[in-house]
Amino acid sequence: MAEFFSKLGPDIAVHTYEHVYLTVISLTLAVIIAVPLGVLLAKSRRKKLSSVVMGAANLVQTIPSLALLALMVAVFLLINRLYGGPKWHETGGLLPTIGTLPAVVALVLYALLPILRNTVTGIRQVDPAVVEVARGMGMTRRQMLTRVELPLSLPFIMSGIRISTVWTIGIATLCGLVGAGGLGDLIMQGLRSNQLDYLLAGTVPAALLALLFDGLMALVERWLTPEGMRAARVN
Amino acid sequence: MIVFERVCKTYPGGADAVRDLSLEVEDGEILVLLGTSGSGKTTAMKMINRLVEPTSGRITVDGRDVREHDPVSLRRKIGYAVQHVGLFPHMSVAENVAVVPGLLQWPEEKIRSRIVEMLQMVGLDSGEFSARYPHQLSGGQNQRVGVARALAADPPIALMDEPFGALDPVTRESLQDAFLQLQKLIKKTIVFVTHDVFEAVKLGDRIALLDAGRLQQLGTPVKLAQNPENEFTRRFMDQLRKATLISEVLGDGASGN
Repeated sequence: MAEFFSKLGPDIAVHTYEHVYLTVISLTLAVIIAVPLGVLLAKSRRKKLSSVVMGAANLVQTIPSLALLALMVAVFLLINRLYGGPKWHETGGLLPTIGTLPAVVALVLYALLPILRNTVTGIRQVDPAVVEVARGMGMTRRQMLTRVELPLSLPFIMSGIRISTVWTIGIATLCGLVGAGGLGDLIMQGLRSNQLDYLLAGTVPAALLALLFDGLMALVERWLTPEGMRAARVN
Repeated sequence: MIVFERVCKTYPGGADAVRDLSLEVEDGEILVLLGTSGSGKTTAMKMINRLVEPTSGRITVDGRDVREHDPVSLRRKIGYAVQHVGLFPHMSVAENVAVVPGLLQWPEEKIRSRIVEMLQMVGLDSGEFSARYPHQLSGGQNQRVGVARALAADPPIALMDEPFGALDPVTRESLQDAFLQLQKLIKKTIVFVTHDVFEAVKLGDRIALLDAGRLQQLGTPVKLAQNPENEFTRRFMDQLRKATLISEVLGDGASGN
């Protein structure tokens, strides 16, 4: 055991850090994009727009995660070929085709749907009569949103973020394949060389991370849920 | 004073909610808009604070057309209570009462003392109730907080849509009594919507009886009961007579109304 840690401890630390880094960056971006977009879609009268965006998010979701990563690399290559100038191979092109960037883009795309869907559901389930009362009391549209609609849909939004968190940690294990690092590196090294200790050094921390983040998000969810709604949901 | 001048509201799709409504609400009176569901009473009320815009005609408050007002600031000056919806579930009693004063950016200190004052006014102990949430209150307590919330910013006008609906008869009566007591003190101009003829007679200084968007008769409860101008009014107000008959049959013990 001590030998295991002295040999692989630093590796585990570095790759866990990379893994957390990828996850946190991707989730933050996904929340920044999906929550406002979800609010817009939920309030939009143009039903078609909403179904097109949701359809697109759904479509991304049906692509296997490994394929989506590969697709990102392909897309970045294509962009470089089209816009990177004649000697993009030597100059490196516009965008790095491997590493953190394609990985984060793929993870963000993957994390969008649960947050988007739950935000739309959350905003739409708010009783329109309650919103009308808020309006009747003299709230502006922004105040209605921030003081009534968002607090009342927060449990939905948070559970969407929680689902995305667990997914992202899982899919981030594949990001090693595009050179973005993370615990996937250790797992693949273990798989290639049939070494148990590398496999354990990759898989166990990944599983623990998923559990840890899920637990953390559960706490945040509890903490953010308005007090008046906690007991109300039990009733 | 609130004045309706030949106000019509037609919803897209063709339904006439309010037809050619003209009436005046005097300062300091409780005017009850009475009618069955679909009579247009709620639509008429919502046009005062511009939750609904009239198709034609105009409404003035203190001589000024409501359409000249910015709707947001207009609404902050008019108390609003819709009790079947109730309070904001995610806000405590104190936070609910503080909504409009907060929107008007009253100083913190003033809001805090106002919460205490308002809760006391509707018969609730602020120490006991301030921190509670709506789901922790009984139906009657919820309605009391709703009235406190509507009047918190001391608006000269309050609009109340069936504020004592969905309550058991005993609680409702005690709330109606408390409400009348309160009104004696504060003398607001109140537009009160109900479908309950007993409530209308008990609370209204005057009643405007509506049917299918048209004003049937406007007057004091006694006038409507004794001198109905048309068949609809006669039949509607007859509910009172029937109840009186029943209480006579049952004897003195049941003459609650």
